[in-house]
Amino acid sequence: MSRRDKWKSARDAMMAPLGKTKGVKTRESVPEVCCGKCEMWFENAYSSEGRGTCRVLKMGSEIHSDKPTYVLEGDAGLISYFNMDASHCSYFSKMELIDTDGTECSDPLFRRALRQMKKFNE
Amino acid sequence: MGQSTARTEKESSVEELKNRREWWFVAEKTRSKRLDYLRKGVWKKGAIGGNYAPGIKIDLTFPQLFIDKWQEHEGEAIMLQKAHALAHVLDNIPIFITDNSQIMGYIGSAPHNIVWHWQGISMVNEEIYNEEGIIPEPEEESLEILANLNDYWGGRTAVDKLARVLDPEDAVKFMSGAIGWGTPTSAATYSTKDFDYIFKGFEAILAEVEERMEETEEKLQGNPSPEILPLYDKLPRWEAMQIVLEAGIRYAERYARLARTLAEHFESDPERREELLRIAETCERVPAKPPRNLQESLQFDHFVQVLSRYETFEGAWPHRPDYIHGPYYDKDVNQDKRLSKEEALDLVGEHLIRTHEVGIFAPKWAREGLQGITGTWVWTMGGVKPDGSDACNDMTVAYMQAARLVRVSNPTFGFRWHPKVKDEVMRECFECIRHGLGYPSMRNDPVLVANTVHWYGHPVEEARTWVHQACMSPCPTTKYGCQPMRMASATANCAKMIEYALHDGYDPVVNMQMGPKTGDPREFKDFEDLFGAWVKQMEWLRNILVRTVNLGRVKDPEFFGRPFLSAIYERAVETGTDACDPSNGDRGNAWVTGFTWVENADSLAAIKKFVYDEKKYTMDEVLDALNANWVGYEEMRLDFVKNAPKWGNDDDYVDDLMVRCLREVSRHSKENRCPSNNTWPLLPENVSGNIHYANLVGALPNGRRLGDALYDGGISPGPGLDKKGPTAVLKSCGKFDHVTDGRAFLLNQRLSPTQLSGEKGYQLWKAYMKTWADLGLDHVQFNMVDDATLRAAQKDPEKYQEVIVRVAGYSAHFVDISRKTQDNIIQRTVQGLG
Repeated sequence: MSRRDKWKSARDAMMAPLGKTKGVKTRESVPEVCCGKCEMWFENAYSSEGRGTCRVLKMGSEIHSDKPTYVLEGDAGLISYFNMDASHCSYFSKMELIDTDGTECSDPLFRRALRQMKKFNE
Repeated sequence: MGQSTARTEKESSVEELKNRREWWFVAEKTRSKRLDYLRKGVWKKGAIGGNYAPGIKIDLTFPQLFIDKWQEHEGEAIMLQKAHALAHVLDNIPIFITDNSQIMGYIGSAPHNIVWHWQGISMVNEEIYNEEGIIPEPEEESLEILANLNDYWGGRTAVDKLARVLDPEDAVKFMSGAIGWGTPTSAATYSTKDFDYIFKGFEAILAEVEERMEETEEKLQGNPSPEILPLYDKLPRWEAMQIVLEAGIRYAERYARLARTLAEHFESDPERREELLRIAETCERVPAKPPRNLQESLQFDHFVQVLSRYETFEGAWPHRPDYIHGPYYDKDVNQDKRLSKEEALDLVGEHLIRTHEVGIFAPKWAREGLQGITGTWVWTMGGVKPDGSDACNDMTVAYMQAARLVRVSNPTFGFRWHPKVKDEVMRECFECIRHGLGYPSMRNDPVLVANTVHWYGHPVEEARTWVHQACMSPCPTTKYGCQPMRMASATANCAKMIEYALHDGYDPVVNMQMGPKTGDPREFKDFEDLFGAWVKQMEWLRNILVRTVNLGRVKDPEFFGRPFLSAIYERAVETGTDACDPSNGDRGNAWVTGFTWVENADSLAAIKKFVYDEKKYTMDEVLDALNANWVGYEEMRLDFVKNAPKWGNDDDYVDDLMVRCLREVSRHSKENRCPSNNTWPLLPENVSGNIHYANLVGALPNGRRLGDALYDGGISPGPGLDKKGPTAVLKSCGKFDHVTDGRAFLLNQRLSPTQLSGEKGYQLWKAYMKTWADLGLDHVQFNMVDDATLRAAQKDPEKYQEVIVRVAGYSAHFVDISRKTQDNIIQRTVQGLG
């Protein structure tokens, strides 16, 4: 795979949800076990719309099927979203939500300030 | 301080409050009733820490009005399509007049609303959807509206389009958020404005546009040739300019009608009725025609700023209001005696408040990097005229006096100091600093004029017109000097340079191979190998940012479109181009903002001393300690903090390394080229990026751990690490050339308010400023609020709402910044002068 192709898949993963009609329902849906609740998930610092990177898995990993594929070597971390289903991922490790508010700017390691995550704090 | 006093601020006299240096209470007691009303009525639009204040809501009227016409004109040239949409907004957005106000114009449909620009970045649109607290009631309905808007704009925004054109590796790394911040689209940037041209009035510009269109249409009827082909694209651009200029005039006329209606049918107070009629007359006059008096010039200026922000974010506010409005003040107050000084001060104070209330949604990273404010609105004061003579005037003084009365954190001022500045003006600057505003920052005008000529080749007369393009960087305000789109994305998280040099280009925080593989540091033979790796990482980091921004700039007319800005840019009107098109004569004035810069020199010095010179530790031990985030290595960490040389102590060991790093960057700055084929110098400064990046930069050899606040920026020494006094700081900073070694260099200093009280205090400060100027430094800014007050404000924020601190290139109300940032400011060394 050429350098460009390798990174193109990462870019496409990063930009994929943009431009797809999703409506309210999809946006509000956050599974009980999701990337946003995993301590391995690192919220991207460039934007806070819910994009992030896995600190274990690399690009090429696929965690949504019954038989996930885990890639642990590579240049780019797996890009995923806070509300992605992580119930099949064996690397999922639930984190304690420390800074759910964001006021203190303890970003982005422990921040989950997204409105849709509030239901998990109550 | 405030809490320990026997009499409360309400019971105390102004003199007592002054003696206690409780300037925020002095301001409340001494400003006019009008200013007090307007100041207290302002909605807080800057984020408190990383979040918006309760009650602040996103404006949904603006985007819905916009999209109605946008979709109707789908398929037209982007500038024309946008012009139709903007005109529809300006004709229909609800307007209102605040009691006691004299300056009109508001961005958004209600006072508590913040707007945003959905055509810029889909990620920001989605962030708004996900954001807690800002969705208007009824929430369900608002979410539906937002989802529909986001569904439409997803994939169509300027950054979405750019990401498809960028090299995919660049796109992923740039948007990782680790190496820099910002957005390479003019949706999120800011522009310099030439008021000599704009104050001709919109009608005069419209006549110019009409003339050019007629000439062009005539040519298009002539002999077919390649020369006439580009003209077809110019006509819709001119048409777009016409549409927005006419809409701008109508927008002002709506205010005129509202003011007249209120005066004639509703207002019972005869004095206010007169004011409303004057407002009506003013808005009927400007921006259609040139201003004739101070109220008209301020109103014209504000309309231009408001209209610009309906078009785009304009995250900074490059401006020189004392220079622009000075002649009108002189005419009204000194010559015609139309206004008293107090009346003029009310107008000037309101001008600051009207600016302060502007609110535009910023994504989380920007809110955290600019805590407490909406954007870096640093207005330029003082300086020289194009012929080199002193430009300070009565408006310079009026703005300084008004600032002390209204105590807003935005805009702030940067003062262009030069040897001919009169003592009375210097005293005004000092009074603002002494009152704890944190501004004006002091800028060395002769150095910065020379710097502007050196880096970009601006003619000296042009360079002398400079304003702060954002926090720090000078940009001329002339036909070819104005910058339509400073690209905030060329902002580097410089601490990554040393971090990557020590990790073979790998970023453990974002789990990505970011920089080039420069080798395992354990294999480095000597310090030169490490320094060579640092240079390669520095070049890589700058290259990716500059490449991205250059492309964003060139593509902006195609991906975003600026009808209004083009209509007020002389060179765009003349050539029928988008103002952001770099081919229309733009000289280029680009720079890379360097966040977290000083960590490089301190880290390199620590390794040089302990690993290579003294061989006290091996590189292996250092890397193990860093990889463990210093956990289990506390004794070693303290050795690196306390005993390694630190910048800002007049210590050649580390200062020479700082100079060497800067010279490497300067060399590389000339190799990087902007679309106008000009240079990309470095400008070290930080805003509050030192907090934002705290969890993005791993452990460093200066003893810092992942999560610790980074240094407060520019060339400021690490907080508490400058132990040899203020002169040593200045001497360190004077060891490199502020003209040729970079674009500008931010220096934060904390001074003792007790020591600087009275006339003696002023003389001490003046002597300090002389040393600063003699050493050729280009910038310095001061915090002059004592720890006791800041700690009292932490305990009782409601009482200290107007206490201001200098964060970095901007000021903020202390209560609006996060605890971590507050502590970082308290931690800064208080320098004793004399």
